[in-house]
Amino acid sequence: MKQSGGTLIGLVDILIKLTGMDTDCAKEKKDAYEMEDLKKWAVNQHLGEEAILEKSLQEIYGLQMDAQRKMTQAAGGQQKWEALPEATKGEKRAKMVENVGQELGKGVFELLDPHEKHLF
Amino acid sequence: MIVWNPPGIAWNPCGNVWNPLGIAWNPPGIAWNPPGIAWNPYGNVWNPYKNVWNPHGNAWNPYGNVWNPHGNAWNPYGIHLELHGIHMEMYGIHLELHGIHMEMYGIHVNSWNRTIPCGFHLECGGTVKYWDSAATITKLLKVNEHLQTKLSQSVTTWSSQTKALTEAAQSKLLSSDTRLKEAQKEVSKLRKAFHQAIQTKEHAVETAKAKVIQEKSVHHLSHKGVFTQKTHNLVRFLFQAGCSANRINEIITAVLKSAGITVVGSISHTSVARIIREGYFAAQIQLGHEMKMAETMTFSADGTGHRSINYNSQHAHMLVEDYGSSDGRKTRATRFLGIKPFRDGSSKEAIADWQTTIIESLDLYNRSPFEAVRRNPDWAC
Repeated sequence: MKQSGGTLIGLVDILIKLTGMDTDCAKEKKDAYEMEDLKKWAVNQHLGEEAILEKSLQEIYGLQMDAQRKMTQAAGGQQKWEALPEATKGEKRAKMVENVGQELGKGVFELLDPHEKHLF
Repeated sequence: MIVWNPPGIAWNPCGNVWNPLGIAWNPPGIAWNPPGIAWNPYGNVWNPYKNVWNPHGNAWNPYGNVWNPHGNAWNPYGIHLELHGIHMEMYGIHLELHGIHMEMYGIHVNSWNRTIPCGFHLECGGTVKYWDSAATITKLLKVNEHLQTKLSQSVTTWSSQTKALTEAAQSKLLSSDTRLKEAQKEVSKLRKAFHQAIQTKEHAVETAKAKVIQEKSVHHLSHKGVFTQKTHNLVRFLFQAGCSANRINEIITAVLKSAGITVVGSISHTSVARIIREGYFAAQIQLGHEMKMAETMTFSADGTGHRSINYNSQHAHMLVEDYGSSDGRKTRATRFLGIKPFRDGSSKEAIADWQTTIIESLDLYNRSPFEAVRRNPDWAC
């Protein structure tokens, strides 16, 4: 989990180190919950990226094709997907890739033992 | 010239005409040496040793020690006998003559002391004893000569040795004297050098003290045209304390003047602003580095409103390196992330502000030379 020199540090690397947030009112308590969700997203993203890096190209291709198929079905079929503007399709593709990582990260997190989960 | 010839009687046994007057000493034909009386068995040589002669024709016994057993006066005519030229040489012979008694009547024996080569003294008219210690003496002389030779050699040897030893001792003495003088010179030289070194050291210390005092009494805001790091820190501290950027130069000059320190150089308000901006970027890089190196961290935030504008302050708490220690010890620190206005009070906007703040710090850090050198140590100068 520790980031060392040699690679650029990003937002995810900082958020996975976050262990809590101090607030003094109800509104900021809500901000803290929001920050907790952001932390969970960052943990899943981190674990998902590590899981993708450990998979082979065929497995990654299979995951992408499966996510592509689900995305097309969610858009209402291949014809409707093709009719969408490119910007929308680009956003949806980015969201699709992110979701792939999130799903893999969630699976990896669930497989961790409680002590390892506590570290995150 | 010996003249003893009585009238008509000549008794020269040698047959020689010994009479210088030309008188035949035996004109009557009387042989004074009757036949049968061998008084001179050696044929005219009456005494091969030339010691004694017997005018009476008696057999004398030159070897029997007694030549006149009858007690006759052999020269009853008052013959004057002179014995001279008698020479006795006895070398290495030990002769003892004792018990001999010679009586001479009316005979005048003109004898004189004769010096025998052995150093003996012959006494006539008494008992004569010859103690010939020639061999002993010779031996003693030889021993004496040997001892003299040895003594001479020893004296020569000792003299030469003494001379050599004396010369060596004198040489050593001279050498020691020379070395002593050189050592004394060296001691004197070292003593002078020691005193000179002490004086030089004291002078250097005093000079250094004076230089330090002079340097301490003067403060340079810049070095070679660039404001020093101390000046940067002082400006940021004064600005953080609430000093106006336009008055910071005056404040620095006044404070140092009150301490007796002269300020060299001045700093303008534009330089103050630039130094403060540099401090902001340095703080962002430091924050990014500390968040990267931290194991865990927590955030804190508080918001308020001023004239219908919401402001939110953000802090991060983490374990950071203790920059005051040299052993890499870590200490807890709270880093200020800033006070920022946000559009509304929604949690979504607040989380977006957090993300923006963190991303800005990390972006500055990732693009800073500090991080570039960390990622690529070969770039370090």
